Amino acid sequence: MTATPATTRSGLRGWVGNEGIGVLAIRTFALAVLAILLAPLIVLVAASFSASDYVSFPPRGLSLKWYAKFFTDPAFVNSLILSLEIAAAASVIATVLGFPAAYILVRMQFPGRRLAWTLLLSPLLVPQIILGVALLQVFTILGMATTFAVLLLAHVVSVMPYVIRTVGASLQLVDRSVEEAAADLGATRIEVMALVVAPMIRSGLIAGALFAFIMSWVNVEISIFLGVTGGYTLPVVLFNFIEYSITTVVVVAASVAIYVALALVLVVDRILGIDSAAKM
Amino acid sequence: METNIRADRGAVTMTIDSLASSRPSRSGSALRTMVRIWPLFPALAVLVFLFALPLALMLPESFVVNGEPTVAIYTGILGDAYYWSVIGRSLRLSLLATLLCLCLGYPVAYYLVRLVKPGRKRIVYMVVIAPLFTSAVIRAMAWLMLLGRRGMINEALLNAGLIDAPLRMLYTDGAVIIGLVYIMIPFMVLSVAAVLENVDRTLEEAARDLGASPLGAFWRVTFPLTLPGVLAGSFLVFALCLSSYVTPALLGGGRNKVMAQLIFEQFMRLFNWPLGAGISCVLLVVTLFVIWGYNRALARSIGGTRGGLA
Amino acid sequence: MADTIVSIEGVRKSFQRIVAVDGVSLTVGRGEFVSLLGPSGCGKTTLLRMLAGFEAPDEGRIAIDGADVVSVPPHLRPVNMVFQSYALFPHLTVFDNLAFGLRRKRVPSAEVSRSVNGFLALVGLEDYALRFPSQLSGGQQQRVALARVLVNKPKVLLLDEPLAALDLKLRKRMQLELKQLQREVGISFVFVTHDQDEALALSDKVAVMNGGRLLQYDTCREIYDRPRTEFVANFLGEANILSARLVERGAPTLLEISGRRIAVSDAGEAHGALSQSVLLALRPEDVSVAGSAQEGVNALPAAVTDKMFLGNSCDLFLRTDDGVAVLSRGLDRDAFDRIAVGDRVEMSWKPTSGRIVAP
Repeated sequence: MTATPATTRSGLRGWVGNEGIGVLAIRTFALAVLAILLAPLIVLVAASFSASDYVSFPPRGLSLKWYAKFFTDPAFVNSLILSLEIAAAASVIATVLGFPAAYILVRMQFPGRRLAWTLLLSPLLVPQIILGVALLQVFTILGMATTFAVLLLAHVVSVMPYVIRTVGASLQLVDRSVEEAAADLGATRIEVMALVVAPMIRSGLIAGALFAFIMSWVNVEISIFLGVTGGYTLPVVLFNFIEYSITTVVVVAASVAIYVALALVLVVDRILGIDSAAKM
Repeated sequence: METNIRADRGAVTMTIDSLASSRPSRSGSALRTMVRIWPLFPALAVLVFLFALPLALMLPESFVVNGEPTVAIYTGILGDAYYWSVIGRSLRLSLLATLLCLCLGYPVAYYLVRLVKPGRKRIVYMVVIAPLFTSAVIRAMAWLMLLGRRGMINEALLNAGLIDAPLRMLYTDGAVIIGLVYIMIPFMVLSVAAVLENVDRTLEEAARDLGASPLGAFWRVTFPLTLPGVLAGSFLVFALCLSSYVTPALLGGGRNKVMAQLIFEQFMRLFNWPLGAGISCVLLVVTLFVIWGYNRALARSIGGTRGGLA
Repeated sequence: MADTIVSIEGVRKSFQRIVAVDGVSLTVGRGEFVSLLGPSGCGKTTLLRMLAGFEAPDEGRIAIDGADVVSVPPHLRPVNMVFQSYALFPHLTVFDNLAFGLRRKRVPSAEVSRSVNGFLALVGLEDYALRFPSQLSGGQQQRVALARVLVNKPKVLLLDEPLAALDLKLRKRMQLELKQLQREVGISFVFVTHDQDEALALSDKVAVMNGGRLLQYDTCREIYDRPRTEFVANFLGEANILSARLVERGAPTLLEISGRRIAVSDAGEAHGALSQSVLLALRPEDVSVAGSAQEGVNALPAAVTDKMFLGNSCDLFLRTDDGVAVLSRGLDRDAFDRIAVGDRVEMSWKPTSGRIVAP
């Protein structure tokens, strides 16, 4: 411990605490890393307000004209809408299918239960790009055009494990006797799930659905193989653009995605509390 | 985003918990069991038809050339120095990125759990998590803007007169590592923080009381107890780096490739699907091997906490 | 009671290789309050859960009101259960918790309101209808749990240690309330507990279980006065267990302990063969200490090892010459004061007090 005179210590307490220079070093280092985490995104957003087509920071002249361009360009707007639609639909479907599955897996004993668990969570173990090419290939073999439905199903597969994992974890915390009480009072199994279990694990269901939404929203490796007739999701459009060049309107598109991400962070924090979400 | 394997922690704990709480139910015919577990089937069907089946169709393709069963694809891959160099590069970049993630992420986790004022903890968590909510494409794009030949870092250095000509930073291994580290730090921070939250902070005080210096108390008491989190985070980050496509593709340029890029190239540009399937197989095997290590680390951390309490 | 509501015949249940319930048969009469008493892991809760339908017996028959229910799922059985944790629905108000069962039976809502309000009044919670369970005290939650099942008018009410979570004072009060409630509604109660005082206080009949087996099933008085095994004697009340040799079977049956003849007037199905060793159970309050032996009373010499004044009882700790510790509680306070630790005394008891028990 570094000996600090009492006067200095009280003056620096907010920063140094009682521990002295070591802690100060860790704090400074950690804050620097946190700054590095944020800085690139801030730079990106700042550059989106530039007046010039050429990307620069600090922006040369402030203007919203590239935002206007973004929101009037059907290619961008369609991809934004497609991304949001896919994420929302995949999240709903994954939750609707995943909740009953998680319930059965957590609450019942049957032969093959472990196998079912492993299978349902295994999309998390396989590199996304492999899943992407496998889906591309199977759809090609089947001669299916990559329609909205196909892309949606692919997203459902890759995000459903998050729902099952999160919902399964919250089911573990539910006192099983509450479900038994419901059955004892005459509720059928469907009624037990709908009237008792679902309300009790509401935050787990919301968390699962939100994670599913986010995972779909940020996905590139699957979407890139499954361009829908009439468009790609926003991350894929951005990927294709920046392989050539980055113009300010592309930066605007990325910024819009960041705004959505920020909104999602706030929603998650509001509904679940960000620190408990971090532990899921 | 590429959070695939993180999930597995849940899977492991979950299996253990559910084993503990398991109650054998009434025995019945297979049909009766099927009826009882029907709510499982829709999800299972989606997984079988859109996950198990596509993989089962694709991977064997690498064992067939012109309708003949063969391992030619694999002897081809493993006998070609080029593929070895790509595999080696993938492993090297992933390893370096993982180590850097650990060095940068551990102090952040420590700060987050031990040092930050309770009121600010939420904000720190937000800063750590928020980047996870944006696509890897966007995060790579930010670094493209920073590292480019006429990017902001070069501009700043030129303006400050520190350099005469722009530095070549983009499309190097360094750029890929920066991009990977940037994307993976949150995973490392969250993995370590999750374990650190459960380490009793009075242990460090007890060590101090017994005469250890602050650093000694940390190094001999706290750090060993967080090793499971360090290992879990490292395996996770390593596996995610190994299979990442977007970051190397955007920041590494086309010349030096990683495995995921080869797969993409074979499927989307060269249309050599058997070879693509073969490389996918190799990547899958390596990834599963790393995940196996991750599971072991987690299992030990679960056992470790139990042992600590007993 | 002639009218049987629950009949359990030869029920067995094992989990993996552990036998939880081993060949239990018993019947519960209409309107009876029956306790299943035993240490944790004795199978009492498993037996209760089989009545509720949460477990299925491996063997045996369970009939409720004459109908075999083994293959009837929980939600269709005419019984209801109060859980140890109460298992109140945290997301529903008190009113909705009570209404849950009636609504599942599609009871018209006007009738639901009437019944629910009636039972809320019965348990004194009419002002709490719109509260959530988390806003209630432990005792109030307990009453909600009771009202929630009673409102369904089950044929049998199953209670799984429902008072275990309450503190001692509240538990005593709730015992009284529970007893009154049972009398009022007239439903048969099957009550699982590991607390002997609770079982004695509440029940018409007690079934003592251990290791999955039913050891004795009788009225409280009968079990207390005539325990059949050492375990029952120890579990329901306190008992001194002395080892003796069986000398003569008859009226009275004669035993021998350290050379003294001991008479037992009612030996029951005197366990053990002649001249073999048997166990004699004595309730502490039946053991007295006198200076010299009286006629017609059993006596054994013993030394006082310790004494303890507890207000409502005076406990003397004795040791026989065989080295067996005996507790005596049959002393008045004045006699207690005259005895000192280390004294040699004659401990004595009436032939009607001793019981021969199986090991």
